[in-house]
Parts: sequence; structure tokens; C-alpha cells
Amino acid sequence: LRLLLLGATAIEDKLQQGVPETIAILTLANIKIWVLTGDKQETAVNIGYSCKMLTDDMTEVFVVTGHTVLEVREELRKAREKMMDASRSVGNGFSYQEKVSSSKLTSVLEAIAGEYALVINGHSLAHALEADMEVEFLETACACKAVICCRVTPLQKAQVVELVKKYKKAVTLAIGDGANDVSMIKTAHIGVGISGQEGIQAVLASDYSFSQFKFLQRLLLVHGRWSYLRMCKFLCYFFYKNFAFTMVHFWFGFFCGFSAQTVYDQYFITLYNIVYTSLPVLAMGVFDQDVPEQRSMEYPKLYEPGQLNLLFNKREFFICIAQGIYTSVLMFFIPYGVFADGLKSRVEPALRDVVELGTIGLDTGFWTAINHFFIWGSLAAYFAILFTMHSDGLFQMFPNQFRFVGNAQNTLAQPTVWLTIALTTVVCIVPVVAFRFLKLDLKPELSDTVRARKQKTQHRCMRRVGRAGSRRSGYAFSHQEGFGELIMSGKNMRLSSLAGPVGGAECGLRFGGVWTCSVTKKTKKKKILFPVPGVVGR
Amino acid sequence: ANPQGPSNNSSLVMSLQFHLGKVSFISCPKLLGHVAETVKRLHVPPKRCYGFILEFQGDIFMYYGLQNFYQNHRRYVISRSDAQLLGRNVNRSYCTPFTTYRNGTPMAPCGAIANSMFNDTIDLFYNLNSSAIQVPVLKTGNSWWTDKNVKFRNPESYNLSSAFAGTARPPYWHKPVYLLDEEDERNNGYVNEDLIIWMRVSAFATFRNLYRRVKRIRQFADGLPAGNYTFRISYNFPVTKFKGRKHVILSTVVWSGGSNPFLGIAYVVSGTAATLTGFVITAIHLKLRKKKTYFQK
Repeated sequence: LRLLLLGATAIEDKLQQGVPETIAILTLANIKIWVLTGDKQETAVNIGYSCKMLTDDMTEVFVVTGHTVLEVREELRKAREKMMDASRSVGNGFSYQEKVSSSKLTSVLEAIAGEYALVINGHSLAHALEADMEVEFLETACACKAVICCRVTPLQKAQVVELVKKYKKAVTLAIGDGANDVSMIKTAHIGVGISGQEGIQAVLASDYSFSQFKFLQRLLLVHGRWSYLRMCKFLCYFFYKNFAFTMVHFWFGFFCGFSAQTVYDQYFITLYNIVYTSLPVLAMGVFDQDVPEQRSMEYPKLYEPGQLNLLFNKREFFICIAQGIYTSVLMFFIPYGVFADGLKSRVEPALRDVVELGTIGLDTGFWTAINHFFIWGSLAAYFAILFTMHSDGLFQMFPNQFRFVGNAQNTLAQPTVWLTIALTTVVCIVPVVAFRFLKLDLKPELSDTVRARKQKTQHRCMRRVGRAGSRRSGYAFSHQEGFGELIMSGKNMRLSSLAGPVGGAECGLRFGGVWTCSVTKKTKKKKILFPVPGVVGR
Repeated sequence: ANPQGPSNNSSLVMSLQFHLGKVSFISCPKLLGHVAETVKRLHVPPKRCYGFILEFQGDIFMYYGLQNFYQNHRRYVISRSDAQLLGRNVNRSYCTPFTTYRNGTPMAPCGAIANSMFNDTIDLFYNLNSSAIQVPVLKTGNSWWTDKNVKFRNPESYNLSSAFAGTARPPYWHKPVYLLDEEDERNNGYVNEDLIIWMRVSAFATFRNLYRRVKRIRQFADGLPAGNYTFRISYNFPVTKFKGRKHVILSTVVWSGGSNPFLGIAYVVSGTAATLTGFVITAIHLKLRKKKTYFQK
């Protein structure tokens, strides 16, 4: 049979631009990345290499392809042993026992040396996700630097995400672009859909969507980080101002027979959270940036505080509360001391407002025009409302409601009042300023140092950003036998189904074209290396 | 300066404490006594008053002070009717139980605040050559303009007693509201300044209210000349019931107000603290900078 080669076709489905860099940076940001794909193993592994999840420097890449529970368990156990052996040889110095309990397992596996990767097939995954083996699987997988699951059904994708959510105290993010990713996107804490040629199913099911994978870096490292920071600051602020406000009534209780008499008039209380102090805090919660975005992208380490819950935890909460109480003490007792002989004055509300705004002014790290407007605007609004409420007109209309006619004009004309306001504001804020300054000096955080870094590094990264880079796309070749023999035998004309991925092929593929491959098959007459068009993508 | 606001900072504050006794003073023999800062309770015979030596210069304000009188209790604070004090007819108010008598007559003014108004009369006499001259004082001009002219208005009628026809005085009062000041029609009724000042409740249990101002005429043009003075007090306001105390306070005024030196002390203390903190922080900063450069080398 003589055949004449007419030509060759290939389908190229390029890896998106920027994927390897994104994955590299996210790994630096302490984010573990797993690949769950419906592609076959070779494709998935090739993708792994082309986007730098798997590297040649890795100590070992474990492949789990067992078809039965026992086989899978055995393979996982062998993988664990190898990892622990290596760490022992490095010299961790504790005795290894044959049967290790699961909690010890975790601590042992966390201390491994070397980089490992795990590749697991869909049918093995089905066994590994069974109730008795899932923890073991999870521990093994988490000990590896990269995990690639191939031939995964959509349900299994969701199951893997579920597994991580259940046993690990981690926040999960699932990103995908096809309809088969929808279940995974819905299961994860954060679902990201990539809108593109696959359609918009993933987009419809997701919390965030964009068009390129590389935007994930910006989403997490810039916006995610800022969002966490803003939320924490906002919360701290809100608790602080409400504590300061409410505790003043607590102190006043000692002096008014605990009769629940309020220090401020009711309208002030009503409007306090809504009008006077809401907008500046909101502006801070929406616009604050501690580090400019370029730096945020450059220093993935800055992502850590969010993962470790550093910015708002019990300790921070108590600090907030303590600050609120301290402020309330000053805000009550200083005017008390000044006006203790009982001459009439209602200075506290004005005081409250000024102190609040002073503190917000301090906390805002990043001033925009909106921040300024809100802060000064709130203060101005307070005084405007104060004068309106204490004006004659309103009093004439509702004498019982607006009893404080004349208060503002008379009290604010006294220099004592302004002196008290000034003193209290300063005494409230100065310790905070002092603490902050000392903290910056003695224990600066990464974000502080990054902020202080000189601008020289800016043009360095500008160059990097501009170029798209002529990347070679990631091609994946399948190194299996392919369909040549089948075609030549003519059997493809029959209804018998084509063979699926044949196990036992191990390939190491190096990105860049130089590949070595050793195919081992049980029943094989000829070795045929046939580059078959493989679909590279997702 | 607003007489209600500021109080003395620099000069002496003389305060006398009254004995708590169930006596009422109308007139008294002259008695020279020491000015005692703290006076123990004594059971005193009736018809006594206090004399002392003092000298003041400038504008002099006379206050009455109360101690342990909780004008800031919530139910007390709301027990008033500002609409009524504007001269309007009110049906509903928070004045209970001081709204109407059993026979249906409304009280004017209603409420616990008005009912408990301070009603002692304090007169100051200057003893000159064995004759006692009453120090001329001003009854008006002691309250805020807005209070006197906006917040408190008498009901309209052709004369004051008819304006309050059909109402009765509150139970603790000796006189009805339209007889609070028979000499000055503009200080009578609801716009009586003593009432106005009392109705502006204080925030703490120890407080003082402006009572009178010394009128600077005749020999008091520069203040109170040195000599012997006597207070004659008609003791009406009962303070023993609630273990309170009353005082009379004379003081002058400075611009910043604050008879207590608290504000001044507070400023000094916080200024010192801030300066010290500044020094400490600077020291730490410099020391750290040296350390940093050392390590960098």
C-alpha cells in the first residue's frame, strides 16, 4: 500500500498571553494553583509545562492513574513516601513510622523539601474523592507545588473545590471559560468567568468576569488587596466612631443618675451615623489605596496580610475599641472638667464631629478630591444643620422638638468652647499619630516600605508593561500512538469506538521544541511517533 | 462677654456654704464671722445671716449654686412644655404629673423643671459706717437674647394677669407666674429671667446659675470696695430633702471664662506631654536612622 503524503493540518489554539507570568506571580503571592481540565493527560501536562506550573527543576512529578481504589491509594502512598523520604534526607530529624495519623501527616507534609507536582486522571480522581480517601488525597495534593487533574468531569471539578473548601481553611477561587466550568465556579468562594470564544456560560455563573486570564493578577493583587484593606479600615472606623459616641453616654450615666439622659439632642444622634460621619468613612472605604497599583502588582508579597487575616482580627478589633473608649473618655471628661461648675454649654456634639473627622483625616492614606470634599463637607454640613436646628424658624414651628434654639449661636460664641474643642481634638489624635510614627520606624510593614521606596523603579517596570512580547504559543503534542494504524487498517469506517487515551505513556516535554519521549506499551509492534493535532487551550 | 458663659479665672471666688437647717431668715443681727470654706452642719437658731470682708474689682456676678441636684435626670429634663412657654395653648405635653390640678386647672408653667425653680432671695449689703447699704443689682440682662425674645413669650392679652387667667401656679411656687417680678413688666410672666435661667437645665448635679449682676453705680462703680458685707437670704429652697447643698458665689469675669483652672491646666499638661513625646520620638527616630545606616554599610 503506497501512500502519498498530501499535506498536514493542524489546529492551533493558543494559550492566552500572559498566563505563565500570572501563574508565577500568583504562586509568589502564596496562592496555590490547581488545574482541573477535561483534556487528556498529555495535553494537560503540556499545558502545565507551557505555563510554567510544572518545571524541569521539579524534584518529581507524580502521576496517579490507578483504575481501582487500591491502586490509587498505593500510588498516593508512594508519592507521600517519596516526599517524606526526601525531606528526611535533608535532615528534618524526626523518626518516621509506618502508620502515621492524619494530623501528624499534615505537619510532616508541610515540612517537605523540594518541589513536587501531582497529575491525576479523572477515573483515579473518582476513587480518590471517596469519603475514606479524600483527606489523604487532599494532604498529598496540598504538599505538592502544583496539581493537575485531567479528564475531569464538571461534577468532579466541583467536588475537588468542595473538598478544598471543607478541609482547608482556605478561600477558593475558580476560574474557567466554558460551560463545563460552571459547577466549579459556583462551588468556589469566588467564581471568575473568562468571556471569550467559549461563550458566556461561565460568565453568567461567575462573580467576576473578564476576557483574559492575565487580568486575574490585577483582580487579586490590586483590587482584591485594596478591597480587603478598605473593608478592614472601614470596619475599624465604624466601630471606633460608634464606640466613642456611645461610651460618652455611658460616662454621662454616672453623672445623671443613670437615667438614660442623652448628652446630645436626638436629632444629632439620629443624624450622626447617617449624615455627619458616614460620607468620609465611605469615601475612605471606596477610594483608599495604601500602595499604588504598580507596586501592588510588583510585590505579590503584599498579598499576604489578607491571607493571614492580619488587618482585622480580634486584636485589631480590640485596639479599635480601646481607641474608641479612650476618645470617649476624653470627649466626655474634658468638657466636664471645663464646664463642671455647671455653666450652660452644649459643646459635646461639635466636639465629637471635629474629633471624628480629625481621625479620619489621619487614617486616609490616599487623598482624592472626593475624600476632601466628603470630610470638609461633612463638617460644614454638621455646622449648617446645627445652626438650622438651633434657629428660630424651626423652633417656632415645632417648639417641643427643637428645643435648643439659640444654643449654637450662644455657645459657639464663647472662646472656651473652641479652646475645648481644639484641646480635645489634639489630645485624641496626638497619641494615635505618635503610635503610627513609632510603628513606621520600629516595625514597618511591607506596604510601608514599598510606599516609601523611591520612584526609580518605576521606569523599569514601564518598559516591561509596554511590550506584549513575542511569546511562542504553547503547542502540545500528543505522543501516543495516534490513529495512523487505525486509519491504515480501515477499521475507522466501522462503528467501533476509537480508543481513548492509552495509559502507560509517559512523556516529558520541554517547552521550546526539544522533547524526548519514551513510549512504552504492552502490545506494540512498531513504534510510531506521530504528531497528532492536539488541542491546546483552556 | 456673655454673663452666663464665662466665669472667673483669676480672682478670688468667694463661696459660702449655707447651713442646712430648717430655718428661714428674714432679717438678722449683724454678725462678723470668718469666711469658712467648708462649714459643718450646725443647728442654727433662726434669724441669722453671714457677714464677711471682701473686695472685688470689675464686673461682679452673683450666682447661686446647687449641689447634688440632678437637673440632668432624663425624666426631669423632658418634663417641660416649650410650646406653653411660648404662650400657646397646649393640650399634651410631657409635664406629668405637673400638668393640671385635680379640679382641672392647668398649671402655668407646667412640668417638674418649672415647679422646682430656685426661689431663694439673696441680697447683698455693704456695711458702711454702721449703716447697711444694699448693693444695687441688675435682674435682667442675665439670659441669652434668644431665650428672652424667642424661646419664651408670654401669652397675648391686654394685661398679664388676664393672659394667665384660668391657670394656677405650680404647687411649689409661692406666687403665680405673672407676679414673678412686679416691678418690671418685661421681666414678668414667662420671660422672667430667673425662670428662663432655671429652665435651661444644667448638665451636671453640681452647678450654678447666674442670679444677679452688681450695678456699677455710686460707690460700686469700680466693683465692690473693701469692707464688710452681709448676705441676707430668704431661705425657701429646701435642699436637705435630697442631701443637697446651696452656695452663693461672687465672681468676676475674664475673656476665656472658666472659673476652674481646668482648661488652663489641661492645656499645659497636654502641651508638655506632646512636647515630651515629640522629643522621645525624635530621639528614637535618630537612633534608628543611625542603626539603619550602620547595617547598610
